[in-house]
Amino acid sequence: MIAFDRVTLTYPGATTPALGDISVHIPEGELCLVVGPTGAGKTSVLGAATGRVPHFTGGVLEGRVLIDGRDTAAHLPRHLADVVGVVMQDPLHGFVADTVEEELAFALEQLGLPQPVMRSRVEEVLDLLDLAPLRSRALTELSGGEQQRVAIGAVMTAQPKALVLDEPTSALDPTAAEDVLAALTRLVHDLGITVLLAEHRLERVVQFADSVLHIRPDGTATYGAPAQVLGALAHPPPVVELGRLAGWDPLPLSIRDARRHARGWRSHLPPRPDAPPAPAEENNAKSRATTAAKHDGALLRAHKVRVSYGPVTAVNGVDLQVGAGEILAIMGRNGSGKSSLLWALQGLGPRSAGQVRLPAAPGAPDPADLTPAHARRHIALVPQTPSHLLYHDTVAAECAAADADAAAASGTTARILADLVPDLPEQRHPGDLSEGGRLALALAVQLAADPPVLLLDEPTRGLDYRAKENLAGLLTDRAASGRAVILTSHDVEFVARTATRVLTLAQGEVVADGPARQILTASATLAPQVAKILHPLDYLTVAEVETALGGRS
Amino acid sequence: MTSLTTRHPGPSAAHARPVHPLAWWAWAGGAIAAITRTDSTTGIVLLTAAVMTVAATCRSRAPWTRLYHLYLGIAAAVIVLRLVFYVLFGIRTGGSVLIPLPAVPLPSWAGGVSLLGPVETQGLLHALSGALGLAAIIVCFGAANALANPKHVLRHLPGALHDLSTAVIIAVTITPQLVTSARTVRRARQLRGAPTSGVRAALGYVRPVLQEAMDRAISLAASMDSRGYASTQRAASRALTGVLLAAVLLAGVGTYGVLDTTTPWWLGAPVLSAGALIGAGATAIASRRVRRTRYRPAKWQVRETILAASGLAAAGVVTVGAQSPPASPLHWPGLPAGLIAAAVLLLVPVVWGRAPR
Repeated sequence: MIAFDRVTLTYPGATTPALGDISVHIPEGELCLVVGPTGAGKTSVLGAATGRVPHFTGGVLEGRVLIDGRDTAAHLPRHLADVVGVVMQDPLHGFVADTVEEELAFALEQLGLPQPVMRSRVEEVLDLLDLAPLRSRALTELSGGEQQRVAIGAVMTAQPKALVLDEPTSALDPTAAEDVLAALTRLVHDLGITVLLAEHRLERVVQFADSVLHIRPDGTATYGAPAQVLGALAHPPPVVELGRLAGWDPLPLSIRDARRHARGWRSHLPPRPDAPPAPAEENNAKSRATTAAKHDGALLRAHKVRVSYGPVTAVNGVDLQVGAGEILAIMGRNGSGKSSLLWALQGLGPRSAGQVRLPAAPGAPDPADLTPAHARRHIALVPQTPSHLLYHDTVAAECAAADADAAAASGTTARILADLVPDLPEQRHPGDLSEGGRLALALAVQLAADPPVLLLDEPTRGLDYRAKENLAGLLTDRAASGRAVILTSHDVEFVARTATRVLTLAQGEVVADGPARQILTASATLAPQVAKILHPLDYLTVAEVETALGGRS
Repeated sequence: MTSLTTRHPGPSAAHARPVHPLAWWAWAGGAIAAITRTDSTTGIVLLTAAVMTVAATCRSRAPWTRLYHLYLGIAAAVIVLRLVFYVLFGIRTGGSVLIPLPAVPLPSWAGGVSLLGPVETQGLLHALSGALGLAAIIVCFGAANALANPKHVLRHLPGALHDLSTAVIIAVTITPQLVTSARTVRRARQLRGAPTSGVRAALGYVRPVLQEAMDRAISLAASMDSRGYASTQRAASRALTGVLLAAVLLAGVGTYGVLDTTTPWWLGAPVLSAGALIGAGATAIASRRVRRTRYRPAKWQVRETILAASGLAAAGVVTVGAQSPPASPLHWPGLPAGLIAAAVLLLVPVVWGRAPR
């Protein structure tokens, strides 16, 4: 269905090709997962499969890309609309109309189909993706998962034979992501649609994949069965990693497979990972962090915080205390008030009622009463779009300006950045960095003033495994040195790896607040893969299992 | 995809149909004509109040209607600016003084103009009534844009103006997001403790905002393209596009001629009809080049006729009534029956044109 024949792609101005000699044939009715580190060329592969590369982006494409027999060299993207549908990371950026029904009909209107055909196709897609109750709703009022389903529906009405999706679930909470992926699998199974799907959070999608296309940083690719390709990855999803550790064959790809393997194997493990003396680095940092929290005073105290936007209450009376050495993860559905709470805690966001105090700072001030330049020395926030913090032309200029903003010794930011990402080119424009590079730079900028409390809004969005490892290391180090971190995240595996405490929000209210292990293992939606596989044992990460096994033998 | 076997029900009766966007524009056009033909300040205020009432009651709650407040803001700013300008630079004729401010003569190189000076009632009223006329027209435009979805209006643009309408669709979609994006960037800048006022700071966040707008425009264009936008269109000939633009220009000049009573007669109706005729012809030819269909085409029914007629009738009533000699601005005239009738006519949509909730 989608065939790459010796495809080499070079962007204008680039010296090395972004894609190097890729030959792949993805047969009809297959869900193919595209994996690889950021910047490796996943987006280029997807773009080439839709004709956007090189028609929209420029560049030289050698070789041939055929979609259902149509050569993208001879067909503009608009002439491929009835063969391949494209869904992007942020559905709102692609919406043309105002309501669900109009959006679904847009492609049909453009193709000039007669009205009765349009009516029946729209109704069909409304049923297929379970959108009928939303048909006359405004697109901006929908939740993230609903918007993504509408975006899929909007291309499905043209009845394409293939779907290309670029990280469709990266902005979604676990439940909404499952809805979207379930809708996709239904399309694959019931209608035989071919799907090309790029995703960073492999753990979410790996069980649905029929094949995997791995793009390496040099632009070359490997294509094969999921177990085979993923088993060879340096950072496989936890389910595969655990399988590899336990020596299960064939490697499990879904929780269900892994649990069947784990049935007898669980007895090898002690019931709790921290029961035996576990001298592993990460575990140690975690337990040290928890003890530190008990002894030291609080760094941030919030009492009955309320945030209202007109008639809508985003945060409703949240009480919160964070002590030194804690990494608190705030979780909850899209729109449950996580970001509003973070901004209100920092002091720059609106707060309708309640109190926030920084007990460790002189005079225990309310951050909202401090000037922004003063407040950031005690409590810093890295927003959801880290690039908003950056406005200079080069990484070096950004670092110098950050030193000045923070009144820190010159070279401070550059040093923090070098610890995070050792080889970031100094003269590069921040806009040209990878997602992980930009986050690292924004983090370094905010950490230049060394604030005791660091707030992060969805920090792992768009990060690959290596970048997440780096971030986790930084956060754990900060907690270990007596500072506090509060982050919001949908990334269950990342939270399981880093957080000491988890707080869940629903409709602006605290639903649960407790030690990470207790909250994560008790929840069906928030449990990481390892916890699901080893239930009822209380393990969260593969590293814990490894340590426990090591301690035994 | 599987073939459709079951019949789906059509839209339920509760799914009320929105009013045809061109009906709203006809109504607003009538209101604008009526306002420009009204000399008395009270009349303008009355007619504008009618327009605002309709905008308040018939507007839907969709996000695109929020721009209405922007138009109201601009209208208010026009009035304030005009009054400030009068107080600062206005020519004093020596009428009754409202506020005795001292005059500050400027040096001779400034042309002997003096700043400030006693604020006179008559001059102030004159400035106010001039500003009110302009503000009222801005409010009418805002009302039309809030009542008729701009994206739906664009669908009625002829096919030959396709490129133009593409640009406008993208602009209409992106512009409201610019405001949000500017606010986000400004707040992020504050997070860093960086100054947010001053020219350098402003320049600092103009770039990320524009960059984001650009990225969004490109991804929107890519999304439209991948969904087959313009895939069925044959390239329009340049000549036809030229003719259409000329027709629009003629219609514009003609409208101006009709509205402005001081222009020669031939600049009015004759030019307007010439523009309309040429435009209609070119559109007919151009629309044969596009093979696009409508999912739920807007229907022109009795309701639409009533709305359009109410606006146009209001304009007619005022035009007939304006034959009487204009009143001096200081003389507050009793409201002539014609103006009251026009205001009532403009209020007709309150009954007939409410948006489906």
